Amino acid sequence: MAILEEIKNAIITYKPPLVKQYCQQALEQGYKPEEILEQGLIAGMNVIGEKFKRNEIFVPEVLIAAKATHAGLDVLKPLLSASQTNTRGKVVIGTVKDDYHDIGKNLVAMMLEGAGFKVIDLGMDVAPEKFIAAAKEHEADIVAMSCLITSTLNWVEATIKAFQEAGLRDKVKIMVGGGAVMEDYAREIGADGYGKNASEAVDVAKSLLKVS
Amino acid sequence: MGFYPSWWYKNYGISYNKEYYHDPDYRVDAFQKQQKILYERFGDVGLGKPDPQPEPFVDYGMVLLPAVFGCEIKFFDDAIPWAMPLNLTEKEIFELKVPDILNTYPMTDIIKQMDYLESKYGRVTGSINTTGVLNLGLKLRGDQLYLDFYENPELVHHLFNICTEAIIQLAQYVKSRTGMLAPAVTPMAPPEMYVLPDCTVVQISREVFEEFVLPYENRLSAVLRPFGIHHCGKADHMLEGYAKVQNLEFLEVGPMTDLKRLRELMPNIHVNARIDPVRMLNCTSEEIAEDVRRIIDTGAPYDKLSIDAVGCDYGTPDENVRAMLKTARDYSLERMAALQQ
Repeated sequence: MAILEEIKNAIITYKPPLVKQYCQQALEQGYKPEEILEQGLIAGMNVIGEKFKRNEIFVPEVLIAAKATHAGLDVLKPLLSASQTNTRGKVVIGTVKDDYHDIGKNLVAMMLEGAGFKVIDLGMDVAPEKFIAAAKEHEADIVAMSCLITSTLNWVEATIKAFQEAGLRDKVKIMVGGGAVMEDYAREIGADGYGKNASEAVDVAKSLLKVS
Repeated sequence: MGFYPSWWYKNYGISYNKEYYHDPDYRVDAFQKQQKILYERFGDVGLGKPDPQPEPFVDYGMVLLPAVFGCEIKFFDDAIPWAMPLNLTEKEIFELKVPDILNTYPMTDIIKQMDYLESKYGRVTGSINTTGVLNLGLKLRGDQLYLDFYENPELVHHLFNICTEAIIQLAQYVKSRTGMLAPAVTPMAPPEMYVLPDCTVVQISREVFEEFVLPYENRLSAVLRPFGIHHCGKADHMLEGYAKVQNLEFLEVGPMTDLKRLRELMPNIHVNARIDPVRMLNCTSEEIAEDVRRIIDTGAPYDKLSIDAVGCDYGTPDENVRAMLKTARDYSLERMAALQQ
């Protein structure tokens, strides 16, 4: 177990090369890729998520921890079985139409990946039809929308309506977040979940899909 | 009190697209109309003017320096312009030099506008938002900059040196023409003050700020005086860092900042506390009034405190605007009277 703890610590201390090295060592020591993923990488990102939630660390730390996690994932991915590559669920994520503020969305995407979700990142300025197309193509479990400025809030509601009109509303869970969104508003427009920040977004995603 | 472009466009059809920033007659005319509209709609709470005169001002959102460096700029009818990050490589950053700002578009157009307004009105006012060191660095390097703090500190310092020099050159020129630097950042600081836009500082730790950003803010505060800082969002985790900024005379902080702690650390500066435009849009007028009262209760002394709510979006209830302004006026008078007893 010591090597798994080393992986977790290497993420928490922002050391991508060490995470990669320790993941390789763990495999050589006979640990299963799934164990390394859960007890090393995801465990490390869980700590990062909690620290971010408590404002103990900030964007640079989350990004470099995510980079460290990806360094480990690159070692494990070829060995993980198809069922383990998306252990939690599939999330299509983007910032809504006309919104170009993407750092929050990027953090959520990384935290979700770190927590074991498969994430399809559509980028910025995503029109409702693009969310729909991606949800269909990837058979998404969750559609996650980010909105930072209040002038683009109307696109959050418009996207939810578009899913209803396309007959897909009951096929996906929709979660929303970002600086312009308040919880009451999210509920009012029919979102299934609201995340105040990237760490909460992971908790919401898990709760929506009833996974741990 | 200020309203976001979407409020103006969706209520009154006043567009903030490219024409607003490149056609001085359009902009001056739009501003005159806006002052009249504000008076008609909110004159009872002190906004607007019944007979506004033309104000010959320049403006370029927050995108002038990013554009000069080569960022693509997106314009919108109902939003402020947005600079797309350049995402320069490590090699490109180390080869980067301060551009010839005054001879690079769109600054060349701004200078032409200044000349035109001066010839037409006998003066030119307003200012150009320089963006801050971190803000500009992020536009040039992109999100990779966040990783550079840990992986490539030398790059960060090289980049911030260039950003700082560019900011100084732009600010000095603008001040020489209009005498103003603050209006493009905040209406609440003295117009001649340089107010550094620290919008993205909320995303980094105090340790990263002190190592990478503070030295450049101190260089700016040594050259561009009087000096202030605009900080978007809650500033609590950065207050000890801001206390180390030399020559700081004004600090604008976002919603829910711990003003009591701020005063302990920086007792002599003027504080402008902002009401959250998202709450202005979504909350009740009593909740807004409570936000204002909280600021007044914790933000004394009152000769060094102001409150504003800017960026209010389309759909912000008029009663919230009135609640904010009336509470700010009435409650502060009540508290000041109580202090004198």
